[in-house]
Amino acid sequence: MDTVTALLAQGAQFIVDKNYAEARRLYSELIAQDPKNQNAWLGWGNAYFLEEKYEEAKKIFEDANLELPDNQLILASIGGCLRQLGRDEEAEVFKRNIEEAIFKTSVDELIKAIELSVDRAKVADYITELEKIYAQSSIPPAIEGINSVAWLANYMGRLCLERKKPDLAIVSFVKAIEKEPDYAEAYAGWGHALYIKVQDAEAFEKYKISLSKNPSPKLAYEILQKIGGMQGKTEQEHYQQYVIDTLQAKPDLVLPLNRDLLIGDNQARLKQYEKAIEAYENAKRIKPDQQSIYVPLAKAYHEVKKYDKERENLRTSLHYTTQQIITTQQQTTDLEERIKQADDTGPTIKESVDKSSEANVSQLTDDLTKRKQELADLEYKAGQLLLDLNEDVTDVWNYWQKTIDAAPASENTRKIADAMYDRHIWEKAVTTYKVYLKNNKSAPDPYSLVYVGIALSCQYQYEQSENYLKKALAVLGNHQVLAHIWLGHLNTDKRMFPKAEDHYRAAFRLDSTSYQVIEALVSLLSGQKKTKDALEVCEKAMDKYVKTAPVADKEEERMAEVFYLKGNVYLDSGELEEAKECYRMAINKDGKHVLARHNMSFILEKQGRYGEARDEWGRVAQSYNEHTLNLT
Amino acid sequence: MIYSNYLPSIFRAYLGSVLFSVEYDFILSETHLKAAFRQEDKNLTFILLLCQLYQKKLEYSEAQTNLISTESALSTYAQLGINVVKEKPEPLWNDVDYRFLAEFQLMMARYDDAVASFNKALILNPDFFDARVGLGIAKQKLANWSEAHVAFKHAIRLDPNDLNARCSLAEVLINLERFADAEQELKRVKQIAPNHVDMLIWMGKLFTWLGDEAYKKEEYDHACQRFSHAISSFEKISTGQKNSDYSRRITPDERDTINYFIGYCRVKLCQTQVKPGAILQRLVKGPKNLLMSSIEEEVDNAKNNFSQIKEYSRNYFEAQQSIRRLDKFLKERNQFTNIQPSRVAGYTVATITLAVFLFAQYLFVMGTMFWPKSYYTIKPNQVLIDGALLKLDSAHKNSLTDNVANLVKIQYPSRDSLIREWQQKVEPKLPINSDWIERIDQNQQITLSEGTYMSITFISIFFIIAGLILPELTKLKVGSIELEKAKLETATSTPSLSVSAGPTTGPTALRS
Repeated sequence: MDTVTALLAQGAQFIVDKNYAEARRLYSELIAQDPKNQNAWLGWGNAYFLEEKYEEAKKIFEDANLELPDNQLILASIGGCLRQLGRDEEAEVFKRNIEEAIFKTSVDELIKAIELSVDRAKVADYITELEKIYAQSSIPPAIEGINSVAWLANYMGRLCLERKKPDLAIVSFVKAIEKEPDYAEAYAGWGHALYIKVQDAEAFEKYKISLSKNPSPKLAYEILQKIGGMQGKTEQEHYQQYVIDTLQAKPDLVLPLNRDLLIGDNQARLKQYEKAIEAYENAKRIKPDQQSIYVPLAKAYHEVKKYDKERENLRTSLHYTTQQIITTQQQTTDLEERIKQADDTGPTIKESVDKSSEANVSQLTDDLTKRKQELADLEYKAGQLLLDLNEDVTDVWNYWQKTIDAAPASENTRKIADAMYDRHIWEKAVTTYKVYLKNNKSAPDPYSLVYVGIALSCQYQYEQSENYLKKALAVLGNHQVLAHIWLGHLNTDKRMFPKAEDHYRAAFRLDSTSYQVIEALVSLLSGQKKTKDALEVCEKAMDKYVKTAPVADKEEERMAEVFYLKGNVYLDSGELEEAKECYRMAINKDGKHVLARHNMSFILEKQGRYGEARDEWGRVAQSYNEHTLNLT
Repeated sequence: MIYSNYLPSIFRAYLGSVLFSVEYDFILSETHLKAAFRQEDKNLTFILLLCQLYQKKLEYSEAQTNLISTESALSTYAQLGINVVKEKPEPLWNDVDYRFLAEFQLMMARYDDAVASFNKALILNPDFFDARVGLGIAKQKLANWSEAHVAFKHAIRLDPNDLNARCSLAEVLINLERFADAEQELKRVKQIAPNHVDMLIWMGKLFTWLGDEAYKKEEYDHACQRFSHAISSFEKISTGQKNSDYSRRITPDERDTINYFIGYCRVKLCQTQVKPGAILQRLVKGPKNLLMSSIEEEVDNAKNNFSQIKEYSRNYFEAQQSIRRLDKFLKERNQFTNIQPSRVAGYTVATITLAVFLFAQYLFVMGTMFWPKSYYTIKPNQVLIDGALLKLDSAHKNSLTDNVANLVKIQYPSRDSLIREWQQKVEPKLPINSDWIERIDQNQQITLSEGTYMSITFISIFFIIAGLILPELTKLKVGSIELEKAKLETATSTPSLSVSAGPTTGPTALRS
């Protein structure tokens, strides 16, 4: 029997012995060690419940609900407390939540079963089974006028999407459409599933059908947002243009404000910044206090080099954000005051306080949590705006520090760490990543581990950096490639070349299609005069990196990259003619490969062929100029 | 080109490097390099490129330009580079870190520090080519030629294709006075790259040096050859700058130095060719015979070279001094030139005078030796008057008449010879009477008096000397022009950058 089980048994014994205080102490200690322990939470809550301290019990179960959402037993326990407190209506809501949770669990089980099933045709049977579960539950009925099976299938499809099961979602949506051929939501769901599967063209077709089936403005907005965000390989511009054309043809498809925002977003994507500005300005006239307009509008002004306007809009956005911060701060303070007042009434008065006021405190606490979260979000946004305005990082950090303190495990904290990292403010990046990692109760985010490792390496804290990178390696995933590359870089810098080679090779094994990996490995081998090995890697890269190009057009460009690397290997080994031949091949494959041309000129100069070199240098300068313009 | 494979800033940085090292467009280069630097302000390659840009800008600016801001920028970025290197704790420094540090120290003219840093880089990586070259340059700056020699030797062993390193080695060898080795090294470069500017400069300087050496040893033929080689090397650079087939442009300072060298070599060449003992040889060989061509032309060319040297140039003072000396020489020479308008006229006068001289000698000798002042002859009338012949019988009379008639026609230089002849041919029959002998004076013959002869002789000798020797005297004056040796400092060789991705871009901490 392990310690936890023993402690749980001891807690149960305390309850049997009605020694509730001792039981609560024991369970609270257990939860401090393991916040996800369902039995400990239930024991702790029950220790209050059995003592008829229903409010305290409810609080414990609500905390448990935060740690273990959709847990039927915990939800049932909250419902029980509410009934004991005479709040039957609320208890009813909990009952429905429990049933929905049970339903969701059933769906999850169904999904698992379907996944295991070889015969996907049986999905229909599962949906029938789902109908039965649904019939027994008190989940809200289907929308009026919609076939209930269709609604259910659509519901199941949405759940499948939430659980990242697009194939099963498609089966459900197809079923829904079978029952309800004009079901816009099902078509939209089908489109979403295909979008997740990166079948943009097919998704686009489904979205188009959905839009033709009179979707609600909200659904239409959702669909058009998705279409506009689609990054087709060759038809990218077509998607954005479709959104604009559709909105111009059917202006009432979405709300006027959303229409202008959508047009603005898509014109910006098409780099039609003047038109985007026009649309955003229209949206601004419709709702001047709509904050979401100002940042994209500022970006559009930036693109047309109207920097005054850019700053003006960013400042407006910042103004609204800071106003919101003040309001939210005020609300937070008020809530804290009210909670404090309620707590200060003391146990004697507390007993006299009616049950509804207790519920009010609970509601206040919830509100406070929400407000704090909102405040943290706003402070994050204010910091981001200041950063966009190129303000001093210290001012930015004043906001962000509050965001981190308020929600250390939030996505915003991670975004702050990323922003600091991107700006090479290594110390703050490291601190923020560490806070994020420490407070994130779930499994550590491996990318954060890698980035903190890299940031530490940039601060020359090699030992710590290596530790973090190795921790990241312990978790399986794509980040391992990056971790190996950086361990390779670290060892290269320490001139421990065999170790570096091991890491680069490991990265190459994991991902032989990454140019970063290929380049690192080839450069290391070439620098170590392992010419043959380096050329071997180039050959492998020619096989894998080139052939896995996303589009056939890109194959030539990738081939040019490999020839360029081969050229570098020969250049390192002093075989100038071979190097020249490789660079020539690279230029043949990709006439814009300026680095190959650069080294070609370098060799011609080395061979004393100054006239030819000079002509080539002229082309190199021109090419660099073009690339610089493109990148600007 | 797949942009995502590269740091966006490298395109601007490399464009900047091409612009300053190949196009010599320092302003545009600075714009791009600074933009790249703003994006990656800790990138040591970018900082070094900025330093190289400012260094090159200094080298390629005319001396009178105000360069304070460029010097200050160079020093600022070099210091910044040092600071960036030092952000990394020293125990973690690797060979590349030490090399960067050394390069920045070199930029700040902290040569001893640079040597120490390069040495540390080489302890960690003895095969580090850039560090070997850097060490060689630092040692050169400290005029520590033997150690610079070792450094460049090592560097060439590591990369035999590097022509700049070979030229630097040749420079060191020249300074070590190992001229033969230097020549061999430069010839190797010439074989691969006949238009390598540093090679041509050092070749020119080497030949100037060798010319001076030969001149000192009075090996005038060798000296002449070497000065000619030096001139052709330097002139190749000067004329070659108009087309692009050269390794690089020359700096204004180098341009002035080259002009000085060409002027110097031209004067030395004149001096070499007119040295005693060399005249006949040059007359025989005469491919570029200064005796026959115009010395003024050469001196004028030299003057022209010296006058092209700009004010503020490091050789300006010496050039001006040389011009003054050449002017003085020309002035002195013009005094002779007034007497003898041209060399051809000089020889003509000498030739005519020689003819006069010879004719005078002829007259004098002939007059003295062969032309008598009087002669003797028989007066036939007197013989007849005396009737001596008539007194003879007819037989004798006829034979004697013929003999006497013959004797009468002959002019005898002396009385005795006439009497002797008479006695032989006529005497027994007819003894000679002294009244029959007539002395005739030769007043009609042209002869020279001793005084005239002496005068003509001396005057002729004087004109011959004037015609022949005076041009030689003016040439000997060329030999007396003493020129200062040129001060030469070639541009710092900033080789074009190769972009083998790893070492130049370094690991990028971009989030994927």
